[in-house]
Amino acid sequence: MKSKLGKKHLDYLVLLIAAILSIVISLVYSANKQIVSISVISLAVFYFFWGIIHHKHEGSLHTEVVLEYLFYSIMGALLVVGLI
Amino acid sequence: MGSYMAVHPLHILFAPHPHNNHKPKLLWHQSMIVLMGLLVMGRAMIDIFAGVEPGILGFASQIAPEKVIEYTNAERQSNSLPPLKYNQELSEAATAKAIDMFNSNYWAHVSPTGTQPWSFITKAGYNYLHAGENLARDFSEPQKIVTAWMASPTHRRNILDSRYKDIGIAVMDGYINGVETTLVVQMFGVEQSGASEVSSANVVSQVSATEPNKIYPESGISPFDAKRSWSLAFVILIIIALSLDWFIIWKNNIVRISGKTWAHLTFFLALTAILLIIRQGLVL
Repeated sequence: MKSKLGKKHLDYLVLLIAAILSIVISLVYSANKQIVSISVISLAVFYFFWGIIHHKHEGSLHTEVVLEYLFYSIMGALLVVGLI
Repeated sequence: MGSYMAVHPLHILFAPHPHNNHKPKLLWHQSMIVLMGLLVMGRAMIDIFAGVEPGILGFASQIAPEKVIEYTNAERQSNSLPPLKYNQELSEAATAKAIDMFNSNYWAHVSPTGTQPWSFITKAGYNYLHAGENLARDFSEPQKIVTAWMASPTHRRNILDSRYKDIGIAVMDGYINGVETTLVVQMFGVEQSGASEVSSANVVSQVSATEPNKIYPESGISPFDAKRSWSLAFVILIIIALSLDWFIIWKNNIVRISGKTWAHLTFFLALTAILLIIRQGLVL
């Protein structure tokens, strides 16, 4: 139980670090569209797999959930990448 | 007879409710596909509008070329390198490059016909041993251009290359794909003889591809700002729906098959921060 809770917290920590890293890269290379695009696409791809792994850890992985992460990841990438 | 209470469409759209299977309709898969379509279509409309009505959407600014050189040399000096000397031929090459980008509608180091930057330098009469080119567009201040170049490893390498002795620059307003823009072309070089012709740094000229000597005010709406606002509108709607979803599900202790709202919020908040961070100006 304790280990499951620790794993869950670790998952969230990893997601938070990835999000912060992406923000920092965008901040440093804000005028370089290639680097920002790569950073955002990497975050979106990471988020999709993060969702699958996290729900697998929790034993709550369903097709519905996979599709949800897939659509959110594509939407997230489109929000920024199409802009720059 | 069961009781029936009309639910406001906004409630169905933004908050979990039995009528939307305890998930805001905005966050449904089908809605996401619709949102993606609207996002892309809206951006395409802005681009089309910018092309059909050139000048209404656009960005032009007054960048003082001598300031770009000044900030470039300040970066070199802070790295214990000698300052670059203004070179008229390199500036002519930079101007020719900017005119070519406007005339041929491109934004790249190599033109669509394959013309390399070095060709402009040679044509201007500068017999180079080593040469480099930095490009920027849509910046409002010279300091921001140099800061952006310094943040990019390849541009930084050009600025801090100890082999270069001369610098030329062109700042030009014009239209690329119907969108008003300000291009900055910076050329570096060292002549084969080693003795470059030096001119005064004060005679750098700013030229315009459309109306020479016209002073352009900063335009109110740039296509970039319009598209960024469009993206922000979508991300804000999603964040509102996710926040309401999280609060109502938590408050009512509803169990359902769904992704983690906290994780979605983290993801979309990060993207909002990136949308706010990215600058209008681009370097190449």
